[in-house]
Amino acid sequence: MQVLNQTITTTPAVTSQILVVDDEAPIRFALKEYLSTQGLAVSCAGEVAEAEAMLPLHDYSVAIVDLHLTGNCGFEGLEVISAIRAGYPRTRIVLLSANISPETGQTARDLGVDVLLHKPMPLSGVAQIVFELIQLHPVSKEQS
Amino acid sequence: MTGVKTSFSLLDRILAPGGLTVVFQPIFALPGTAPKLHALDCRVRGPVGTNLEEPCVLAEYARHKRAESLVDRACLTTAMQTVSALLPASRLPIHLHVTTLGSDQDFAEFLLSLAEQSDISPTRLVVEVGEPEVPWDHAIFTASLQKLRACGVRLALSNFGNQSANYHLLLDCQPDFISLDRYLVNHSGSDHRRQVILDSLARLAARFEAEVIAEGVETEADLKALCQAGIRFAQGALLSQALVAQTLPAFVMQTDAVASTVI
Repeated sequence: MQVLNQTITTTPAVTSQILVVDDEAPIRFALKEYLSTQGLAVSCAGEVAEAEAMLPLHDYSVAIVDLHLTGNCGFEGLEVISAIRAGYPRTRIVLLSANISPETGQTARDLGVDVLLHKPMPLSGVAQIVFELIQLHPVSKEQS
Repeated sequence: MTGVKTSFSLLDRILAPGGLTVVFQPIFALPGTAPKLHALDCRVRGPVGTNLEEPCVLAEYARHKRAESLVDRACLTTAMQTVSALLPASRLPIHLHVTTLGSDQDFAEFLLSLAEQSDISPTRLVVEVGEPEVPWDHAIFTASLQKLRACGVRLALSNFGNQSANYHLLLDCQPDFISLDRYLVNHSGSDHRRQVILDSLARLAARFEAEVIAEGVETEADLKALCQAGIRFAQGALLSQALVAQTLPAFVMQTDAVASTVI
């Protein structure tokens, strides 16, 4: 993943909660570190069940979900996306993967994914997308 | 993009030796001049450094993995080993998934056998259940409860008033204790509607011959509201933070009237 020395200046007035779901620890770490420096509160999960267990904890503004969560090219990320859409319709979803076929992309959109991002993607680019989506999910009073 | 794939799932880490640890949330008896220690609520935490350190996330993770029974067995084993070593006379409330009791036909025997191995009388055990969200076998659940009750294990409903922890479970379990969800307790000192609910639930519990335990007490005003409603037991940050095992003996020694109030 390419990292640019670019700072996003559209920091929200109140802290938005972001959920990163990826089975690769270095990617979770990089996204958490970078988005945290942008003023966001970031939680991470590496498995489907872990992500689903984390969903009730916060009113997540954006979830960034990897398509493959086991390392064997399954589409486990779609399970997470389905769980988010079923229980947390306000949360905006980014599907992040190095391998999104047109068919899979269409399935993801049908499930309610807001943005498809292809790896590799600069962290600053991911952050820019996240901030744009946050504008569609204002932080609730309970969070502020 | 390349990276290091997760080689072990969190479930592997939960079940590995040392994967679970226990903390204790003291429960206090309210009547009198000052709250007195009544019992210790046993909470099992997942692997250190993971999201599963939070007991509610650990429980949810087990549910989503469809591994409630497996994780509950591991939690129970850890809890009993810890309590047996530290508190030879304390009551032990332990949280379990409803689906464990409603799907694992051998769980009651496992629990009772483990208690015997740990030299813990079943009469000291309080099994807490709450919030079933997946189908479970009512016959197996009822049989499990009957086996436990016959050996002196008491039952509690946790998070009562929240989501699925409701009258359905109250009828099925006939609990000895009803733990009120913190959503009902928080702000009860300043919210008349919550005071009405607390008063109603205290009277309901009395008719069921059950004791009410209020969870998540954080302010003096809320504590006062609980006393006014006739609720006799409470836990929460106002009374005591959760305690790790190493600090527990000193805490118990310092607490007044321990000998007569800790069962």
